[in-house]
Amino acid sequence: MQKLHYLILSLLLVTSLSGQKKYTISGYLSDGDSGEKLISANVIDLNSEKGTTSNLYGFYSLTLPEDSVTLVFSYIGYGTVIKKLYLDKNIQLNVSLKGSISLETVEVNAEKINKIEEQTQMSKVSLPVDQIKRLPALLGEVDVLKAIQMLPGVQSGSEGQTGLYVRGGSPDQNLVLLDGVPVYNVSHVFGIFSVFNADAIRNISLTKGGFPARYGGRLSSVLEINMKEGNMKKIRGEGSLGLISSKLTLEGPIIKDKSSFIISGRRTYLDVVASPFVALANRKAIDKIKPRIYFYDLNAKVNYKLNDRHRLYLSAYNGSDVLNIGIRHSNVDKTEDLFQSGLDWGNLISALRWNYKINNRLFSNVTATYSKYKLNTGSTIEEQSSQGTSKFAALYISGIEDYGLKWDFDFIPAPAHYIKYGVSATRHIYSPGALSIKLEDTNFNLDTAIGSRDQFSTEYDAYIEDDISLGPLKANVGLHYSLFDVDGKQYQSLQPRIGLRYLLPDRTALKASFSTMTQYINLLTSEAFSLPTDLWVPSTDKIKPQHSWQVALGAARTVLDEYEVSMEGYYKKMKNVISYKPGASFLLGISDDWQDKVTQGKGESYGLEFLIQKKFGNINGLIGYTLSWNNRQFDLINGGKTFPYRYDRRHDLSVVANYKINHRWSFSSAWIFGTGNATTIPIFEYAIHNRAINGPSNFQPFFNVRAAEDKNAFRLSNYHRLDMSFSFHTKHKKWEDTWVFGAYNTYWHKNPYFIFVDTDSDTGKKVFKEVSILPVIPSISYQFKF
Amino acid sequence: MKKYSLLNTLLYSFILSLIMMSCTENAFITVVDVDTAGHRSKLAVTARFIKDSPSDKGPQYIYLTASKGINDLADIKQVPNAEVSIREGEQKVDEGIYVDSIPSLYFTEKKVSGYRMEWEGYQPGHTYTLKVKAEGFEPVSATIVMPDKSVINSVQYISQGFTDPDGGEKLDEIVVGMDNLEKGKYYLAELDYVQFYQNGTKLDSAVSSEYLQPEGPLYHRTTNGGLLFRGEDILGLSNKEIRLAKGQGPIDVVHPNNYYQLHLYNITKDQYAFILSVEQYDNIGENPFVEPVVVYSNIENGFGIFSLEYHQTIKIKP
Repeated sequence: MQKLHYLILSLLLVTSLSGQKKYTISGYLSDGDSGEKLISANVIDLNSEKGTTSNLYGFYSLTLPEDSVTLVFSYIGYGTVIKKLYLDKNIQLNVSLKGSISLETVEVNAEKINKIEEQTQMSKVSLPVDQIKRLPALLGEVDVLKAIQMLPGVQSGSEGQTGLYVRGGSPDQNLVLLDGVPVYNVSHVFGIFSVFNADAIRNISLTKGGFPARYGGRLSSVLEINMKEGNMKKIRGEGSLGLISSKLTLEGPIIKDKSSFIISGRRTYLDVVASPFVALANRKAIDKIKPRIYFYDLNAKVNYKLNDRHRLYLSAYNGSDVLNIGIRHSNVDKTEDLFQSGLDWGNLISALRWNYKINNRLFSNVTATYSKYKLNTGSTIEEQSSQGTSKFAALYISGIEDYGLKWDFDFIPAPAHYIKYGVSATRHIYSPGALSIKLEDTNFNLDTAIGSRDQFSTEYDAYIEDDISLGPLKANVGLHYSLFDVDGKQYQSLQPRIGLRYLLPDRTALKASFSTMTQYINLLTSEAFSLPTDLWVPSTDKIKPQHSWQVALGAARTVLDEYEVSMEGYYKKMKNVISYKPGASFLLGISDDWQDKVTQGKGESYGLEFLIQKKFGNINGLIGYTLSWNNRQFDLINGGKTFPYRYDRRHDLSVVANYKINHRWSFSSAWIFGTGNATTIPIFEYAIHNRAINGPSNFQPFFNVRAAEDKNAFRLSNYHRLDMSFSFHTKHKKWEDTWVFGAYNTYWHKNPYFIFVDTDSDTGKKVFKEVSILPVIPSISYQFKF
Repeated sequence: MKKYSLLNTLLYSFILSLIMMSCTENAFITVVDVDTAGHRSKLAVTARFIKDSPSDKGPQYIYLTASKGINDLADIKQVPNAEVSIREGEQKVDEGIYVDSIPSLYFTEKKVSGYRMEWEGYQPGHTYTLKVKAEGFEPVSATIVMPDKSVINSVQYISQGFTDPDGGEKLDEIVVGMDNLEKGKYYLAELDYVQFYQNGTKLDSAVSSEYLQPEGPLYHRTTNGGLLFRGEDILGLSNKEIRLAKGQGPIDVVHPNNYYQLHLYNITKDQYAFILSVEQYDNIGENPFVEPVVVYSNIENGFGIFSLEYHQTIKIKP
């Protein structure tokens, strides 16, 4: 690694030799109130107009010739800090910025560096967490993924679900990283809520294309979510009490300015709320029911600054859904039968991170990660009788477990180059479903296990990328290499990536990108529903890795200094995408090998995306529109003919507005529109002769087939809804609180969840019925902060 | 305390109202207008021409119906007087007029009924096109290549020769050696048991279907107990043999003349896809968690299947 570093250094020195002595200013940028590191904050020298941005850990480095420098440190939503000095040696300069209060009012063009037209990266969107927290939310429960779904190029699945379908990809093609650790199941309550607690989150960004080389392993998107680090200055807290859940977050210093913590918890209490009704129902019933339905999340993080060069972070997340029902049946002979059935699933993830500033221009980060997703579903029946007790238990377990190690470097040799390189290794352990059955009777015992065996794989990745500035032209050029080893079978992939930006004189940026991606792990899921039972499985010698390439062209510009406007067109091709074979599902043939239930095919998506975004100010929000096409082709599905993907959505529009009316009242609204999902419904019938299927000894002559003209040829009704909320803020001496009154689906549009065919009992005719699940849902929640 | 009770009351009332709303069907269900009447009736063809070996003659089934919108409550109707022809390139090989058929009708001169006992003249590797014209319907057609016949060189019946890797009792196994077992070929196997019994002074026989047990994961079982598979699915491909386990344990051989007969069909890729999709369609019912099945068709402008295949019957003494 050191050799590679020197090689890069010498190459760059050759290209940037000017004969003048150069020195480096480096350090960390942080929030002056909390000590939280600022990501992508700007540092610019007004004299030379050279600049840089801080990385994910707030580190920046700027190398300039010996001279006077006027450094401007800025970050959107924060006051600007200016430092004037004569640069004649390497300098360590840590800077704190104050939120929303300007320290000095100066005419600078420093912020231009952070503007959308300045960035080489395209197809990347970030949403401020504060804006997300102001959005109207289902049952008052703010959801990060639902906010992401409002962005162009991102589609939600079915009504209320948190699944992300990015530029025609399926949910398994999104790499969701919480503090750099993959999260395999992002849903609570069958996708109604996501596992991310907004109170514990510092920043969110979604990359849909033009992937820099540091990303790999998924075809369609990278969603990076970083947890707060914890306030370095003083103890802070915030929380909320809602109709279905409450949460509390505490953060503060362990040792002031050296070490801090954050801990955040959330739990729903539908089980508690429902308990009086259950008790009432059980009072005289023979069958006493005891349901347990809830989910919880726990986020925790500590960090310790050893010195200016070394810093350690330890973060963890644990969350689980529990859905359990117990029935106690009283028999006439005063014995009791007990029936219990349940489903629980959850993630456990953690990361240990070591930041090491090797020198003024080189920063490294070593991360050890652990991620586990596990699903248990089972039933037990215990019957008592005069002959004795018999017990039956069935338990189905599936999941995935990862151990990973990453070593990443940021090398900033000159303002014109920002080089990132690194290596990683991940060990995956897959449990694609095992069923154990136990039966204990007075005269019979059975204890057996069936299902697919555990599988193991190791994924190695290496990358290098350089963000190069050549006047109005910027380029991000990189290469990602991956190697996947599963059961002795090895796959390799070399993935070139390039992103270009050319700045026109009127400050409109023209952008282009090309990227190829390879994915070695797959999610076995039904197109219709995303369930916790969906299985993560590896590529094998039978199931080939998924590949994609994507090209995007676009333009971006900041208008009136506040409105980011961007337009992008993209075309994406996917190979070896996975689907259940027709008629297959995880429910059928548990003992069968999963590899025999799936088939692989091709995917194609293309479209146009348009986004206007205003991130700050009393009025802020966004308008996002996507026009897209999304098709699939499998040899074994639809007779090999190409068909629209279920989430092929021609039009997708989101309009989000937040308005701070005065210091007490604020208003938020979001209107969402989407073309109806594609689905398959039978509209005609024909007969085939059974002798076309079976040999001479078949006796049933006819077989009627109800069919659709084509797979996914029918469209459900268009989806649209309006969510609104009003917030009332009160500031007290030591704390502040907010009452939020909201309504989801305010005008109660019956958005279709699925369609089924019914028979009209009077006419005998078939009737198609769309079922919606979420009506207008009012909510009230109380939020507090201290 | 009072405040708490009030809040609780409000909370429960709110949840109760939501539950009550959810119980009202109309609140959550929208009847949508789907243009089923707009479905234009098309011809549905099931045409299966089988060439028996070694006679090189065999049955020819054709069944023609008209599709209907699912809200057309009348029965599905056959399409009499349709013109049926088979061509090889531009040359007409066979033709006839379709008559209403049930499986017991037989071929008469220039008439194609549902079931014609014997035909010949089609050759492996040759391409044939089926064309059907009927008044009021768009003409339909399908083009396929007649598959090769399997060249069988050995047949073995191995008592308790197959051990299921997932456990269970050992099964009898039938091993058929072939000269031309290859990838890219498609097969259907069915098994009958021919049982003899004394009827007074006369020896009579009866035929019953037996279930074949898949020996590999890629075999597909048909509703008739047969197995559908491709050359590449065969476990013993390198040995040029197919290995088929018999679904039940060994049968008590009551009469010494009793035997099994294995029907081996060389079918086309289209027929393979068609049978597979029909089986899958039949299996899933209305299960919403399962990928929906579209029944495969190789009939252009219509539905159904045109299949040419070879059939061999292999007699096996247990």
